[in-house]
Amino acid sequence: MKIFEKFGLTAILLIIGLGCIVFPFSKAHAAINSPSLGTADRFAILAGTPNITNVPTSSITGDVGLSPATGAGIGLTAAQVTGTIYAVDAAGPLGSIVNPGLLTTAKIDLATAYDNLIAGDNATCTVDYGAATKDLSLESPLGPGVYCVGAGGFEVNTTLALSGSGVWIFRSESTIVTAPGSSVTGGDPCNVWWRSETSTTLDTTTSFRGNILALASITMNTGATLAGRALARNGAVSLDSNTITNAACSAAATPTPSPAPSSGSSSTSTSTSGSGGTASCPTINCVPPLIIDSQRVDADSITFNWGPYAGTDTFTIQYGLENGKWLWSTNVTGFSTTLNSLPANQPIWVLISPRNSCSIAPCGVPRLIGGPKLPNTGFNPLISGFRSSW
Amino acid sequence: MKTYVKQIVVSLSFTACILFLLFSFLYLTKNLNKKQAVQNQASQTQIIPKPTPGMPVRLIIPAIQVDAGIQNLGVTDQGEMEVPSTIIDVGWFKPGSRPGDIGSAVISGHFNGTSGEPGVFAQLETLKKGDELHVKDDRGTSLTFIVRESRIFDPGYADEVFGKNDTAHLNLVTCDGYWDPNKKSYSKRLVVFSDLKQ
Repeated sequence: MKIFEKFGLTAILLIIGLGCIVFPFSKAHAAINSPSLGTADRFAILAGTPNITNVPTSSITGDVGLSPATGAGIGLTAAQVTGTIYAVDAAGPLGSIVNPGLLTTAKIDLATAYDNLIAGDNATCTVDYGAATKDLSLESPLGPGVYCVGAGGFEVNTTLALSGSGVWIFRSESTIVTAPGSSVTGGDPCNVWWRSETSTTLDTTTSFRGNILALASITMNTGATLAGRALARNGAVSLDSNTITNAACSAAATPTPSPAPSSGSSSTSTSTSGSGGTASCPTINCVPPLIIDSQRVDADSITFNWGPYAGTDTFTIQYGLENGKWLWSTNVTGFSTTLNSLPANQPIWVLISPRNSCSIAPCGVPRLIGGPKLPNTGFNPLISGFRSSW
Repeated sequence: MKTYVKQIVVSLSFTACILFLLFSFLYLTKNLNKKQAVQNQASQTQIIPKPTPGMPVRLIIPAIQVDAGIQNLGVTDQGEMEVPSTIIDVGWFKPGSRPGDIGSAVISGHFNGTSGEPGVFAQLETLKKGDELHVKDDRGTSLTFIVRESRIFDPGYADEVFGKNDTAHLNLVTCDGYWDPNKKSYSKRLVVFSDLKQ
């Protein structure tokens, strides 16, 4: 009794003190985090080979890219995509932009994110369901955590509610398959990750959330919707009247809490752990390129040059008929180029952006080149003799 | 003894609870600040878009008594900027910049009509440096431009008129020179350059 009386308060204080020191530590080491998607972040759909198929009409918000397969394999039209369709060659659908460099970088960043979903603080499974097939809707609701399954794969057969806020990582060593009409609710789609070591199939009218990173292919059946991304590393993405909306995710959506020993000095080490795949790309000194001179060569080609030199002589030129709506793109080394095969006699908006092998610096200002001939605004003056001085 | 243990357990769980709340609060605010910082950083590196002006609907030039409706114009098959369908309206080159946007907005107007009567821009040549132009848009806002210079061009391409994009310009175009009955066109073009009044 007396011992408790004597030491009770001290013990409590001691435990509080210990708690103060231990709490940030334990939290930091257990914190799962959203990997950076790097340049893949802008995409709603990325696929490898052979194609992106589509039974119309789908509605895609975000960019679409196919690499290394030819652009001829892209079954989406520009009208179905609120964003840009990127292809590795000129065989893509009308309005697609040829940018193999961007696609290669995006696929590398996708692979990095795929790897980071099982690395570092994300390595340990919060719950490991073992080898048998697991229907996640039977476990609903699920709080943030890393959920793992073996060869049987994940299923979502009814509704899976994600409760609370944080990061969810679902790792399947095999497939992820939903049942018709099933749904995933809750959670920020930027922080919900589905990693499938084979393929993922969302059955008819499934309402799904999160970023799907599949090693092989992703299939969406009739009417399935996805708030997130369908990113297939090697295989195809197959669509059938689907809606995909990729919310823009900040590169460091959930910074890893710092494991700094004292609670006050945590801000210094945040940037080192959170940024993942983009760390190796050298930054571009972005001085807005200015067009010095532009000249229409003939009805369908315009030549122009620009400056100044500010550390790079490689540029991406985007151009189109309206300011901001870039229908075409070309990479140029040097400070002048001629755009050919343009719509006859149409003025062209041009945006020049400095670039290097892994990124594009969007600091240029769009400019109209190849403006029309000055208008003919007069009629024969002899009738009235107007302006007699000429 | 037992009650004492109970008391300790209760007080412990209470402090644990308080601690948990305190830390989760600290953790959340810290992360929110970080997120904010990341967003701020991101927005700094991007070009912050200015609010775009509305569609231009009316051009007013007090110095030459012009108060004209603005039509939307494109390009003819011959690669010329189109002209307004009437001699009392002026026309804005829609594929180009909007008046007030960074870039060169271009408005054309007739010099005369089919029977020689003066068009809306018949007196354009009398505009001088410092004269004011006003463009009203469909949202009711009015922008003022100040005449910088007038110049005579040959008919043909003039990227200088359409493409300059250091600041916001408004350029007015009409015919000048003598009438060439073979080409059914005047021999020159008059361009009045003006800059947005800041």
